[in-house]
Amino acid sequence: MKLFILLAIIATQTFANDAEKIMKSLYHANRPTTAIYKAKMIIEGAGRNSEREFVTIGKTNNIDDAENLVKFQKPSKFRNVSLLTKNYPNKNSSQWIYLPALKKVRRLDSSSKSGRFVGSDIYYTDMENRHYSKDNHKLVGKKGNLAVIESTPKEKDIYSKMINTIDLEKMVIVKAQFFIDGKPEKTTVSSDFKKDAGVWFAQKSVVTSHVIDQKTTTIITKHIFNKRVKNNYFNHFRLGDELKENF
Amino acid sequence: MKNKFIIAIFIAVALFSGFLAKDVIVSNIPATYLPKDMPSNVLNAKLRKQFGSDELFIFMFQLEEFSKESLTKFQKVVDRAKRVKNVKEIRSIFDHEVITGDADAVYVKKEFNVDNFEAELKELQNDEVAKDLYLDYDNKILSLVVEPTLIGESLQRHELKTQIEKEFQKLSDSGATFLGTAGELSVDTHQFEEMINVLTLVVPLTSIFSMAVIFFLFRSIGSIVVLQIGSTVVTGVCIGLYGAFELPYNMVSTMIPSLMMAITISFFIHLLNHSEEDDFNSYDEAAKKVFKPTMYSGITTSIGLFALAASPIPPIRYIGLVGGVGVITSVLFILFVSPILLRTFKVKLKKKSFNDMLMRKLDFLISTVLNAPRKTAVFMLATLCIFGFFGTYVESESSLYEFFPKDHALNRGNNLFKKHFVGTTPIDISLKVEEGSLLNADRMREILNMQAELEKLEDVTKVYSFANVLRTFHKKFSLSSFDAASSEMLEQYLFIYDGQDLYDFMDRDGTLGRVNLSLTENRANLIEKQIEKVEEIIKNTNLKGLKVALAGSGKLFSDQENLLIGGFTQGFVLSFGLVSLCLVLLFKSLGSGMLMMVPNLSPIIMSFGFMGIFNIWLDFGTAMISSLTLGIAVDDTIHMFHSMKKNIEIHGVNDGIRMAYRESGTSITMTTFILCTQFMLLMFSDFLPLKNFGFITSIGLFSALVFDLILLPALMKINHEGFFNYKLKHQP
Repeated sequence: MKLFILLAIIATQTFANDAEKIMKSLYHANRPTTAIYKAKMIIEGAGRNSEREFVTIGKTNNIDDAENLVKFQKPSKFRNVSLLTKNYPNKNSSQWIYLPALKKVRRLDSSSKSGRFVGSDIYYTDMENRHYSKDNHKLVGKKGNLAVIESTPKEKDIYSKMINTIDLEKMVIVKAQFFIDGKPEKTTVSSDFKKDAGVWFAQKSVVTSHVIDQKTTTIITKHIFNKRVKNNYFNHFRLGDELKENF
Repeated sequence: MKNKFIIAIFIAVALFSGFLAKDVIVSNIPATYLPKDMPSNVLNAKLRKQFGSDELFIFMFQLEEFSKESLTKFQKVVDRAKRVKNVKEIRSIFDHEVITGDADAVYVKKEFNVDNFEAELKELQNDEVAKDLYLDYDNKILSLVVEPTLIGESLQRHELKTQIEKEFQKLSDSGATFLGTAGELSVDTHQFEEMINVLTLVVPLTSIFSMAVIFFLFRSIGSIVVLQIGSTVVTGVCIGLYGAFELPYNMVSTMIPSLMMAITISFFIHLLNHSEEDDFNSYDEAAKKVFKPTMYSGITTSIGLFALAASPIPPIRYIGLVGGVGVITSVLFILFVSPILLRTFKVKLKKKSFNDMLMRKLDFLISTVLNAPRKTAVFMLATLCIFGFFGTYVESESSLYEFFPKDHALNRGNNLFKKHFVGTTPIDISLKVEEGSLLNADRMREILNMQAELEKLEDVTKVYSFANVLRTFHKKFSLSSFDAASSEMLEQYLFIYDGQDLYDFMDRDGTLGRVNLSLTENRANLIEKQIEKVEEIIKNTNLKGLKVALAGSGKLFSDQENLLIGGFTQGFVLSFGLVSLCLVLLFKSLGSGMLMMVPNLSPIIMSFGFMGIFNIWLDFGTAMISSLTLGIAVDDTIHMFHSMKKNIEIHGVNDGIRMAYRESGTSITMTTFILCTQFMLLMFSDFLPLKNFGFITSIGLFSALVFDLILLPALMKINHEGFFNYKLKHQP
C-alpha cells in the first residue's frame, strides 16, 4: 500500500514536472523581436454583429519586458482609439488609453485586468505575457503531439483555472478553456497556423463566452515580424499620434 | 359486472391522476398571475432576459466592527456562496464596480482590497449605488444581494434560499449577526413556506375534523374510510389536472384541497342521511333519492366555479376550471362509486339524530316564518340592504407583505431594508431606441433630468440607470461636468468600458436601456398612483425617438390588481347568470329559478358587508369568494326548495314547509355547520388571504343557511298566498 502511494506521488510529480517544462517552453517559444499584425475583430452575439479593424505593434525587449500598441482604424468613430500595454519583469504591467473624442491619454489601473478589451471576449489580462511560474501545472492528457495541461494560479487571480491544449510540435495553444470561481468563463480556439521567420502564429482565433451570448473572432489579415519599429509607438505621451506607416 | 366496471374506472382515474400529479409545477412568481400576452408581462420577460432578474434575495448582516479579519472571513463565505446552484451573482461591497480615478489614472475597480478596508469603505460610502444597496457604514450593516438564474419554480427558489442560508450561517464566525432578508424572492419563498404549511397542517386538520364529524354523526369507521377515499381521489384529480396541463400551482391553488373536501363531505352527508341504519344494502336506494338534488347541486356548483374561467387572472381561471371538474368528479363519486364501496365494505351506520333537537331549536323560526311571512321577508331584505351598504366600503387592495403578520420575518426584513437602504418594489422604465442611439449626449442629459424629477417623488428612494454609469465614467475620465459630454465621447467610453454594471441597464448595442426605480410602497393601488406620477414625468420629458414603457415586479403587481377588479365583476355576473339559468332549466320554471336566486344573493352581500365592517380587502383570497360561496350555497337552496316544493304539493303550504324543515332544514344546518367549521380552520394559517378566505366563506355559507331557512320559506309562502292577498282577505 505504501509502495503504491509512493509510486503515485512520484508519478504525479513527474507529470507536474513535464507540465511545467511544456509551459516553460511555450512561454519562450514563438517570440519575434517585433510583431506587427493587421487584424479584423468580429464580435457576434444575441442578434448583433460588430466589426473592428486594428493594427497591433509588439516589441519584445527581453523575455519579461515587452510592449504592445493597439490602434483602431475602423469603424471611423473609433479611429485612432489606442491602447498601450507595457509589461515589466517582477512588476505589474501598465496600460494607457487614448480617446480621440477627448483628446486625452489616461492610464488604466492594473486592478482592472478582468475587464473586456473593447467589449470583446478578450480580457485585458489575456493581453499580458503571463509568466508560467505564476501557476501550478498538471498534465491531464496527451494524444499524439497534443498535450492538455491544467493550470491553477498560485495566488488568487482573475482565472481560477485554465486548461490549455498545446501543439507540442509548433509550441502553440490550439485550445484554451478559462474558468472563474470554478465556472467556465470562455473558450478560445485557434486555427489556421502559419510559420514565418521561424515563428508559428494563428491567423484565426475564436473566443466563445460561456457567460454571455457572445463570440469574438480575430482574423489576422497581414503580419510582419522582426521589422524595426519606432520607439515613439511605445511612448504614452505620443499615444494620440496617428500611424504614419502604412502596414 | 356494472359495479366492477365502475370501480375499475374509478381506480384507473385515481392512478392516472396520481401519475399526472407528480409533474405539478409549484410556481408562485408574479409573472404567473398575469396573462402571458399582457403587454407589461411581455415587456418584463424581455427585460429580464436581457438584464437579469429583478426578483432578488437580500440578506442583511450587522458586524460588531469593521476589521480586516472580519471582512476577510466575510468575503470568503460570500465567494463560496457564489458557487451555489442557481446563483447567478452575489452583489456586495466585495465586488461592487466603482468607476474611480484621479488626474493620473482612471479605472473600473471591481474588487475590495481588504488590506486597505478603511479607505475602501470610505469610498463606498460615497458611491451612489453602494451606499443605497450594500453598505450602511454608520450602523455597520452589510447587505448581500443574491441574483438567481431565471428559475421559475418556487421549489427551486426555496432550495436556493436554503442553500444560501446554510452558507451564510458560517458568517457568524466573522462576528456578523444575521438581521433578516428582503426582496421579491424572499416574498415568494415565504409564500411557498406558507403554502406547504397549509398543505401539511391546515388541510390534514380539516380532514381530521371531517372524519371526526362523520364518526360522530354516523358512528361508522367504514364511512370515514369511504369519505377519505373520495376526498383524496377528487383532490388528486384536481392536482393531476394542474400537472397534465402544466398549470402553475400557487398560493391561490392551495384552496383547492379544502374546497374539494368541503364539497365532497357535504354531498356525502346528504347521501348518508338518506340511508338506513344498520343496512348496508340501503345505499343504492339512498343514491337514487339524492340523485336529483345532488346532480342539480353539482351542476350549479361546478358552473359557479367554471364561471371563474372568465377571469383574466390565470390562477383564478385555473382554479375555476379545475374546481369545476373536481365538483363533477365528487358528484360522480358520491352517486356511483360510494354506494358500491359502502356496500362492499358492509358499512353499517348508527345515526345520531339531531333532528328532534334541531327541530326544537328551529321551532320559533318556523312559527315566525309561517305566521308573518311578509314581515319576515321585509326584515331579511332590509338586513341585506344594510349589509349591502357596508359592502360599498370594501376596498380593493393587495400587498404581498401585508398578507403576513406585521411581526413576521418577511415584514421585519423588509422594513429593516427600507430603513437602512432603499425601497423594495422595483419598477423599470424601458427605453427602446426607434431613432438613433441611447449613446446620444443630449438624450442622456434629458434622461438624467427625468431621473432627477423622479427622485423627488415621495416613495421613490432610488433611481438608477445606464446614464448614471456613463456620467460617472465621463466625470472620471474627462474630469469635467457631464454638460460637456458629446455623443462621440459616449461611444468611445462604451468602446473601452470593461465593467459589467452598465450592461445591467443597457444592452451592448445601446438600443435598449432601463431606468430602475425603487419604491417603498408595497400596496398595489398605491403603487399604481406612483406609476401615474412617473408616467406624468415621462410625458414631460423629451424622449423623442425612444419607445417608453413600464415593467418590473411593481408594475406587474399593480396590473394584477386592476385585472382582479375587472375579473371579479365579470366572474360574479357570469356566475350569477349561469347559476340562475341552470336553476330555471333544472326546475323548468322561471319563477322557481328566480325565487331561489334571491336567498343566494345573501352570501355575497353578507360577505361583502362583513368585509366592509372589518376592513377586509378585496384581494386574491377574497376575490373568488362570491363565485365559490354562490356555487356551494346553492346546494342548500336546492335541497330546501326541492323539499318544500315536494311537501307543499302533498301536505299544503304550512305542513309542507314544516316537513321540509325536518327533511332538509336539519340536514342543511348540519352540513353548513360542518362546512363553516372546516373553512374556519383555514384561519389557523398565518397567511392573510387564506385566513380571510376561510372567515368570509364561513360568513357567506352561514348567511346562506339563515336566508334559506328564513327568507326562502317566507317567499315560498308569499308566492302561494300572493303578497297582497293577505290584505284583501283581511279588509273589512
